[in-house]
Amino acid sequence: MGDQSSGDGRSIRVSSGAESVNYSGGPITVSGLRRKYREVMNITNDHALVFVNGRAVHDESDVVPPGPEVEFKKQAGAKG
Amino acid sequence: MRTVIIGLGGIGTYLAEPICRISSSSKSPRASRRILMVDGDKYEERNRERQIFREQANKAQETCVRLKDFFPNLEIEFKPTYITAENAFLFIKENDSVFLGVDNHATRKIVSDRVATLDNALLISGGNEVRDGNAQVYRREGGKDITPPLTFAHPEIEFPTDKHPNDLHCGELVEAGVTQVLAANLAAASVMVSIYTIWLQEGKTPHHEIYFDILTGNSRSATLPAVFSTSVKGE
Repeated sequence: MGDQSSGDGRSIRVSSGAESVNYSGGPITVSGLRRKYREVMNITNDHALVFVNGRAVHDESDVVPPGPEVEFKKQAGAKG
Repeated sequence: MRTVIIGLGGIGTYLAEPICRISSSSKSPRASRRILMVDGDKYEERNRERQIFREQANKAQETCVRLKDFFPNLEIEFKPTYITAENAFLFIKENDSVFLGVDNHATRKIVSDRVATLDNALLISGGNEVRDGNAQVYRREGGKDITPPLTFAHPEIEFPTDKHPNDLHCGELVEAGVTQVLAANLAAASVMVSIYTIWLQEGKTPHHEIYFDILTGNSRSATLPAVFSTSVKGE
């Protein structure tokens, strides 16, 4: 999926649904990550909630330094 | 203390048998020999490609009758009704382990809200789309949330826009039942059974949400939100 690395604290772990990748391009905004992985991780506008290390992000212009996990929260499956 | 299975459709049909099998043989103090199955829907011929049944009868009743023969040491009961905010207290009680395999967020919210009123309970909920889905774990212990309710970080459950089955007319019910694949139902059920197995064997709920994708073959346990990080979900 690109930008794969070992998750050694020098990268940002980006997660959505069952998928996750490591971004190792240095500091980046949350919205930048959203744009970068929109297609490859199928991050849509339904992924409205974002967590950085388990804390909700209120401003996607926040810059994420290398190290944490950024999760674009995928909606729960509706069917059953 | 009972094990309650709510929804005997696409996911529940694959949950019921292994849950009964585990319950029948488990020596865990957290296992119960009392099983309650709840569903207001009935099996129809068009369900046969994904769901297990002999008779076109109420789903809870048909599954209950089918599995009673296999597990004579279990006390298996059924309620042929949908869970509502008004009747949830009748079916979900203190110390219950609840499996939720329904096809709408409105019911997920009702059940999560009911569990939130209990001191001790375990709720394992599964849902899927065509190729992917998730399972969520809501555990209450000593009147506290050990893991988040189903509504946490899921506004689609907190503020459901879909309809409760009681509010759907016939055409909407048919429409609500389409575009699913057996493999996604199976995957959801499998993850739910795995979570329950860890609970029975180790008394832990190390996952609060697991996502899966049958197309990529990936699964991922979501990171616990920071506000819950002080609770001990794995003890």
